[in-house]
Amino acid sequence: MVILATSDNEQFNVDKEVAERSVLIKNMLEGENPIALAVAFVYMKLNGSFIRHEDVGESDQSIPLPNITSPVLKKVLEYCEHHRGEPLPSGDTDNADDVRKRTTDISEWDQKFITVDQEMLFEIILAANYLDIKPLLDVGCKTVANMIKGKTPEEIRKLFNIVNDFTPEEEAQIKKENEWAEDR
Amino acid sequence: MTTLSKTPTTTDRISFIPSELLGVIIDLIDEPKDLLQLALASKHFYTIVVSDHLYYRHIRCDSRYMDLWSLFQTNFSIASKIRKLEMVTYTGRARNFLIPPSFRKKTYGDGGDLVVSDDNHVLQVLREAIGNMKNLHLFSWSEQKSRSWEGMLELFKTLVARCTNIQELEIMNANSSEPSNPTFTLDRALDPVSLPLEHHVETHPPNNPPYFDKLLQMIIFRCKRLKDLYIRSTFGLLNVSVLFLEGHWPDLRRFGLGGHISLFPEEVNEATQSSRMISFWKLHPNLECVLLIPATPFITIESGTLPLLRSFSCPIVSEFSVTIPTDVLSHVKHLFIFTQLNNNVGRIRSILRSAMSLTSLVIIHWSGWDLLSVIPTIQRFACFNEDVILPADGRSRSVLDMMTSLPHLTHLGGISFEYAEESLVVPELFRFPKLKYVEGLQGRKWTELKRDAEGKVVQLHTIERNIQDLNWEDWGGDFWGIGVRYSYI
Repeated sequence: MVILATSDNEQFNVDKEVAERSVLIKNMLEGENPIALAVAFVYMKLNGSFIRHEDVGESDQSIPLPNITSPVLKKVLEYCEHHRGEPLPSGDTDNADDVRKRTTDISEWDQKFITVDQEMLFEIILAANYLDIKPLLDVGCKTVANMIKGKTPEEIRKLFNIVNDFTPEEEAQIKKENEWAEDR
Repeated sequence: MTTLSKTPTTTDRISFIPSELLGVIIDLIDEPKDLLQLALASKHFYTIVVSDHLYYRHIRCDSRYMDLWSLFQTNFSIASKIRKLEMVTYTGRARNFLIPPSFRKKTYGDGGDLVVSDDNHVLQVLREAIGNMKNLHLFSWSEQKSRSWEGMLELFKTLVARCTNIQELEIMNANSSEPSNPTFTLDRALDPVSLPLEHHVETHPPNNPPYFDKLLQMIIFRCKRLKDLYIRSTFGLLNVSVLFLEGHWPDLRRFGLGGHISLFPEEVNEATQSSRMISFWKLHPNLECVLLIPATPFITIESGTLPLLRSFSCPIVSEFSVTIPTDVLSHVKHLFIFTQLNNNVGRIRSILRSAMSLTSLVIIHWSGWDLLSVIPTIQRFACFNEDVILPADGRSRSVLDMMTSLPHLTHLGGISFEYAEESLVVPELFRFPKLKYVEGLQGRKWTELKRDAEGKVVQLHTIERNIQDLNWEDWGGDFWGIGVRYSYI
């Protein structure tokens, strides 16, 4: 088991196999990520505990995840648990790109999983990026991309609560300059 | 690029996503239209989307933009942003080109830098650039220029190996001449169209250019997600029988073979041809559009196949050259028929009678105007090679009478009024109850008939460019809209 500690001081006991869906954690456990280790080291010292290199991943020590809150980690672990045992994406960028580019390819379970409010969606994306869980990052990014597709600027603003800071003249000018894109 | 009035401000959640992650999200948006909408949401998005993504989604130019190819050759990240790449012929002005603004001034013919490079070097750089375009969906090559076979072969090899996301592919005029690289003088460079005319005059070149088999292999084995396939040969007889033997693309919607194409080798008998073709249709139930204009037409479709077919284009050279069962014809909306013999009128009549859903008909060498009575519900009709309709002429008068009796006709194309006085023609057009667009009043341009609330024509408006409406969906969602039909007559 691995203990993961969130920014709001909650601890999660997680199977090593599940935790290792995160490349960051996997590397930490294998001692291959000195930067992450250093961050964890400083964090633990600031919190009054001490972590030794060889202790990382041991059952009585926790891995601090200072960028992630417990509700988000809970959600991320739900994803990792569901996908446990599946092959991890290789470092081959070619394959990764193939998977990434098809935004319609979100499995039914993943779609249901990612049906969350926007705040949580963006938190999941940030957490997946931080923890280096590429498939989860893909699901999150594809979901946001799909939300944008087919919408007018006004609909996009409304959806994401974006303030329109263009003057009407600027907007017209941009449309005119990129008229070709409207025809596609 | 527009200069913004003030620094972008952000207050929302999505704008706080780090730019590299936002880049990942934007990378997943293929369509330029969607990108533009996002860019218009706020200045923050404008600065991220337009110059880094929108300008690179669709590139259309000729092969001599060396600065651009060099960028793609050396920058994988930018090259991977491209979804559509169209290599076209420079026809004296670069107005239709789509290239990032910073490269536009470096074109020729408009006072910018003239790029004239060694042809083999161009192909090498272009090949390496294409090799980096991992997310290419559409690749179209229609640039007319004499090139070395070896260079083209290497280019297609790269396409086979690297561009695995190709969904649409158009290869036209890639090369068919002898490997004769013309001396590239400045004058000629300004008019590249003249190059193929001088160096491609070869009416019976050897069969299949060396790269063509490789191209077919790529189409068959590497483009499994292909939705549209159109192969056309301008020179030389291309044998595509392997497509019918081994081709299987589950998502294929549009399939077209045109020009000097041989569907099957001569030694394959008609029974075998039929059976291979029938198997092919069965493997492709999603086909919506089929265009077969081969050199040796023998087309067989079996009843119960092609349930989604709505656009069908073929030559009819004899009573027996095309077999289309009634149930397939019954849901076809767009027909394009090429025939040269008057004695095929009976066959055409029977086809038209079965095409009960037909709304659009394009026909070449029309020889039976009375057939219009078979298609009273037709909305769009074009007839090519019917040179003149003079309102004063008796025969034309009866043809016009027949057409004006078609109550649903909205588009009338291909019929030339060029030799008629406009003052004579225009009143005739007013007789069509629903006509909206007519071609031929102003050369080959389209004229829109604007009507008032009561349907009376009040204004004629010449359309300067081919509008999508006339080019694509309205004519059956075919590859070849009315605007480009002359290219293969």
